Amino acid sequence: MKLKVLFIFCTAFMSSCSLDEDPLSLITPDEFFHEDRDAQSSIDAIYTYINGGASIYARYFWLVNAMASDLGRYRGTDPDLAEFASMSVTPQNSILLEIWQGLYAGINAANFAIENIPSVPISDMEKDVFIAEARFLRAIFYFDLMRLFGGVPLLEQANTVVGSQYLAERKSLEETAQFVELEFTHAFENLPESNSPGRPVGLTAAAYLSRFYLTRGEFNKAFQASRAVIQSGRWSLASDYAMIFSGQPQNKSEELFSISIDLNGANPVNAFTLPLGVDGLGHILPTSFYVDGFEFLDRRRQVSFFTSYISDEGVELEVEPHVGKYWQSDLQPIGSPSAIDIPIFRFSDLLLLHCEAINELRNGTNAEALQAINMVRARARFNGVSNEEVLPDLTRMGKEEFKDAILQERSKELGWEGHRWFDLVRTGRLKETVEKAKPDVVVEDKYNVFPIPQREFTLNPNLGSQNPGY
Amino acid sequence: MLVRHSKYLTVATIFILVAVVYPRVVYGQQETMDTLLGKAEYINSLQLGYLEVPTGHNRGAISKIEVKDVVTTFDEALKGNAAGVSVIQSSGQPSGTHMIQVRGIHTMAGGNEPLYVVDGFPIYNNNDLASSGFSFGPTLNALTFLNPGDIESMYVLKDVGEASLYGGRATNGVVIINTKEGSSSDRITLSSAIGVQQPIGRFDLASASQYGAFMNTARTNAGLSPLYNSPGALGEGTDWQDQIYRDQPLSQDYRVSFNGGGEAVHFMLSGSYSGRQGLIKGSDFDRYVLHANVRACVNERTELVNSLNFARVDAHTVPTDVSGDLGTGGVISSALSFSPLIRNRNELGRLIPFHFQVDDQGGATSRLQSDLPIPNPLGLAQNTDSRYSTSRITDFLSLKYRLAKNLNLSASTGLDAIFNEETTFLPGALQYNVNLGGVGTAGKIQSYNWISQLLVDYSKKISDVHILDVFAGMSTEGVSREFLGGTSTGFESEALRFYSLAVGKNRNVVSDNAKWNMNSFFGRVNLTMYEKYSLAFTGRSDASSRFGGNYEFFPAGSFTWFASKESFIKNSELISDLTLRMGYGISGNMEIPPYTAFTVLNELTAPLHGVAVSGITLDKIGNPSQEMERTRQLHFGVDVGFLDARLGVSLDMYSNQTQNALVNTSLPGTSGFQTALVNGGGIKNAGVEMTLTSRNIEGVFGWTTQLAFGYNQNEITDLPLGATVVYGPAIMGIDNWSIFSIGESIGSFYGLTSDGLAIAGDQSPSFAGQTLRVGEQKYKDLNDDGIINAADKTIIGTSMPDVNIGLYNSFSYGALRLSFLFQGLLGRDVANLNKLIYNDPTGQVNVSSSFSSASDPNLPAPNAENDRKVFSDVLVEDGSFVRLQNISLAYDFSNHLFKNSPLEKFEVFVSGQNLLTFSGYDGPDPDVSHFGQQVIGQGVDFDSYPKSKSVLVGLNVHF
Repeated sequence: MKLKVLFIFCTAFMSSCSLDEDPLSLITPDEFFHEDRDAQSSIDAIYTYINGGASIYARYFWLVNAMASDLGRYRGTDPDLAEFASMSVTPQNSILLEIWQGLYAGINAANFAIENIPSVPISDMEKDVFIAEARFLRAIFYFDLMRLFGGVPLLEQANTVVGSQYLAERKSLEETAQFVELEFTHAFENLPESNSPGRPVGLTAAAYLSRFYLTRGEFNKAFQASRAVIQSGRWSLASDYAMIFSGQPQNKSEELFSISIDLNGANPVNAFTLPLGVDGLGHILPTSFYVDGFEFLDRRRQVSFFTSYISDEGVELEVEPHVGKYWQSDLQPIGSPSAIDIPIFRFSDLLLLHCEAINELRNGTNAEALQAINMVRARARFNGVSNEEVLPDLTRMGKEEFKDAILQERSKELGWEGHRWFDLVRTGRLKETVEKAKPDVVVEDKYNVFPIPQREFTLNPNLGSQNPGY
Repeated sequence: MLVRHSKYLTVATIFILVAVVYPRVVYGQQETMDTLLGKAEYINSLQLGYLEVPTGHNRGAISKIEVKDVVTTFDEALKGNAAGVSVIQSSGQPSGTHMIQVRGIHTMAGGNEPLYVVDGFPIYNNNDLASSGFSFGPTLNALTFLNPGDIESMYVLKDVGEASLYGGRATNGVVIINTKEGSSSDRITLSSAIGVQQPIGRFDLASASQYGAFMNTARTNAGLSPLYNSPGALGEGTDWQDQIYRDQPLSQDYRVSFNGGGEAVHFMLSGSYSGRQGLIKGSDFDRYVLHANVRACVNERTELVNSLNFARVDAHTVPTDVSGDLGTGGVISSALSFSPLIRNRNELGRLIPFHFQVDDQGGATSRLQSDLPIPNPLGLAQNTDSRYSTSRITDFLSLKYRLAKNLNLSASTGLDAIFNEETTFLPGALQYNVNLGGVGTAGKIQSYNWISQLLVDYSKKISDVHILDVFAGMSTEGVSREFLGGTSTGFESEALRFYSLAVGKNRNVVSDNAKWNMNSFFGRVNLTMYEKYSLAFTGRSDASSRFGGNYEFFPAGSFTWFASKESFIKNSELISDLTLRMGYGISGNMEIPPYTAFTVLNELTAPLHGVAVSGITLDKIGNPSQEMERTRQLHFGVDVGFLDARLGVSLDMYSNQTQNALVNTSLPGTSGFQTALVNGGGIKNAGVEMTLTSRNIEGVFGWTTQLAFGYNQNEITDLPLGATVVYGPAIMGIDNWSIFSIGESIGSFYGLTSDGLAIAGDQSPSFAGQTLRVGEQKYKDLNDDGIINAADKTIIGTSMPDVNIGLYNSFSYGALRLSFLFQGLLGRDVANLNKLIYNDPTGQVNVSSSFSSASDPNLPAPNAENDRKVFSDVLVEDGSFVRLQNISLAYDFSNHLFKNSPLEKFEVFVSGQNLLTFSGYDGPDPDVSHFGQQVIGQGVDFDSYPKSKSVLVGLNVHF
């Protein structure tokens, strides 16, 4: 009898406590992808790996491209930055590590959306559009990994728990490229014809395909893609080059894709490029080679550099040329952080890519190419009020001459926007250009890619081999 | 390691002295003493949580602690009183937290505090349950809820012998606390104490004229023109340390208790108040505690025991923490930094809000440096308003029922409810960015800690010489915590401060909720044979929701041989007691926050075309296979009592191997994440302990001594692939100063090694792109690559103490009693990051007077441009110390003055706390730890609230 009471007591007592964990104030995967809006939400999260001042795109793409090229020089003491400026990059470089980690974190977010959107209760058509958007963004991440590091591990499943699934092997450059092509093509075919501002449409993916095919040396495909974008008439050049960097969202007629920066300002460029007196570090300056390459009255020179500024005591101070592309000194006397977006893909970029494709196909200019490049030059003559007598229209040229002209135009048009190292590698002009701009720097052949971060080899035994030379 | 710490030798010498003096003592008349360890412990049974362990039973290493001193929290009483227990104070603010290490550190990512069992109620000291973190300064000690005056006895269970009954929470040791109970005869106790305090140490800082001269030199050495024509004329200037400290801060303690009851009911009721004015203006602490213990015999089979405690703590805190609260500065670092050339107030009587460089005319030389604004220390202390208040109700009720002869059943239930509220206001005047204005915050926490348990014990004499004791139990318990907090900025009017956060334009609300619970089964079988041998097996199975609800089993076995019962010793005059103990078992540690195993999504926001867009995606990778940390423990011990237990010596040896310690491990970038918490670390703690208790002289004049000594060696034996090894939150631009490394101790400091000062034309290696200035600190290029960088870092010290020591002596003559306690930690290093301020060569901030007078040839030359901050062995110092923790003189007047009154005791005492410290440490006090109870970051001294040195007078009356 007593034992029976005891037994009942014990049973009642122990069954009262469940050991299931329910984290009420944390969102777990079980609680997501149940409602319509979760699909949109999972897509929007991927953008945070591109947009905002803390993203690796805002922090590093302009920086690496400016430092590891003829555009910029470095006079600070940060060893990671110095490695790019002096072309002595090591696998220990922490900037490359952050880029690698940031891009794969974006890929994981995209994979998570792609994998789970099919279970959200929305129409199949809506699902297709969302998935196309995620695949487009994932394609950008893989494309940039490919351009920076060569062939990389291709992860198409989201990692949610620790395990071995992410200890993946490096794919060859060809396999990686095939994947990127497939993804951009899918996005081109499935993204909508129109979308809300800042988001891609089918033609945005076409523009990327043009950039991708040029990188791969598939010039006809590149030409077809860029031509489709131009002929759509969807984008046009802003009338004044300065408008692009005015921070006004309405001046975005030529924006295909951008790193959006919040209005409070979080663009980190000025922290490096502005002088100390206006809250920069003054560590990253343009090379004189780059500055001298501009004609004096080129509008892009005025926008890209400044040589004097008003100190906070109200005194005008003369300085050597500093990068001022993301600084509106009148609106924002203290320059850092800036609120100006950093473009990733502008229409002028696409026009020049179009020229590049034509040049390769035609071994020189044709009317279409000249028209495209002269549009870009003509716009740069406008000083805000009238046109200056500079930058005459280009005329018929041979292949090598035109190639140089396009590259030079790109460097002036797209400086500090994260293209230069990619451009020089793509066109095979890295070594000669950088060594001309920085006489004390020797560029080894290996710099067509950067080293994969050493940390990855330490933590992933399956990764494979390092890029040659590193 | 030991030999270089001279203080250890000092204490060892004292010990030898005691040992030598001992035999000469003339044995006096014996009288029972209600003291200390010694004989009493062997006679009485020990109430150890679940168990009442009678004499002649198996037991492991247990330290008994008596609260001998006026302390605010009972964990303070562990200082110097238990061999193998190191107590490091994180801050000296009233009721600051302690880091308690029982036989070292057994974890790299979890909690390392012992489990407290208060009147049977197991409570882990998690300060997060009692603090929303919305007040300035370090977290207050959650253990403050119990008045140490209500404690009857404390035992520290250090090995698997008894602690393993707490299975998954036994690794860090278990502290059993029994509060005072009632008695059949009535007794009233009154006690009070009042005291004054002062800082245990101060920085010796430069005066205005010294600082002026220093700045001139710093500028001249950098090729700039000197600032002051005659720095000697600048005088003393403002002593900012004088400004922040109170003149004579008071401490007060009052307690009244009533014990009583009849045959059937015993009770103890007590009420107490403790008040502390903080050393720093603006800080104080008040505590009210009501405690009630009732024990009632309902009938001959049934007994009811209830222990109820209610505590209310109200405190004002000040921001002492540079890296946390304000991001700008704390009171101490500001007092160190602030220029003595600045007067306290300007002509209008307003506080000067920020430090600036003063020119020859008393004006500012330049715009303030926005990257390091240093707020006025007095402003921070006086004009910020930060409050902490917590109410805590703890009740534990047990019903004991005798089912049959030798078979008892006990059912208990307990609830520990904590209601915390914290508020702060930082006025806009102290905000460097004038656009931000004042900041008001308020946060609330409600935590519940509950338990139900059922115990059965059975005792049977199997034969004439075999006694079997069986004990089994089960329990279910849990913790829930709910938090709500808000921050408001942009106050149009600051009059209402945090009372109406709605006045601020920008408001931000946060909340969260956490819960965990656990089911356990446990038991113990003890077989005693011939009264000489005792064999015990203990096991506990815990299933915690924090580890997926899987049952983990923690077995232990122990054997005790009461050798003095053997015939060959039995009649020895010399040896009155000889007991050998040994045990082996597995214990666990489960102190990680809940939900770490989960994959977690989070909202991320970024602008898209000028509009903020939020999305939800993966934020933290899950690890469903996380398991409790398991430690294999092996121990041997011997207790020897000489001369009828007048001298008692206990020696213990142990070796504890933690096998699957949780470690933050790096993940490859391809995972999309950077780190995850995984099992796979190994940690070894091994050491020896000795406790010596001696009644040196007995009689009218009495002298007793107690010595506690513990030596522990900690070593990391294993780290999983990719374990993140370098840690250290940024302080003053320095980070990654701590390392986990196989073969080294936890808490190893990691930095550069100094290599003298640069001379003119010095071509020694330096930092990339830097040329050495004359008199600049040089560092060793350990990898010989010609450049000084992170690759030249090495282990330059360890914060874990090798030795903890305590020496207590009590002398009595009639009704007069004198006692003192020395305690110390030896063989440890402290990173004195205050040196980054007071030995800053730039002259941007004030410096120590020794630096300003250039008296130390090892210090770098002042140079206005030498602003590099480096973590090196220059900052890491020997933090060993021995301290006169307490000295007390008491006289009991009851026999003399009030002969015919009912007074049992009328004791007047005067005592001093922390009056003497022996240490070579350069800062004011080596007994600090900036990061509180965090395992990583212990032993860092930065901006710490100083401990107080105090003198108390008090009265204890019993009638």
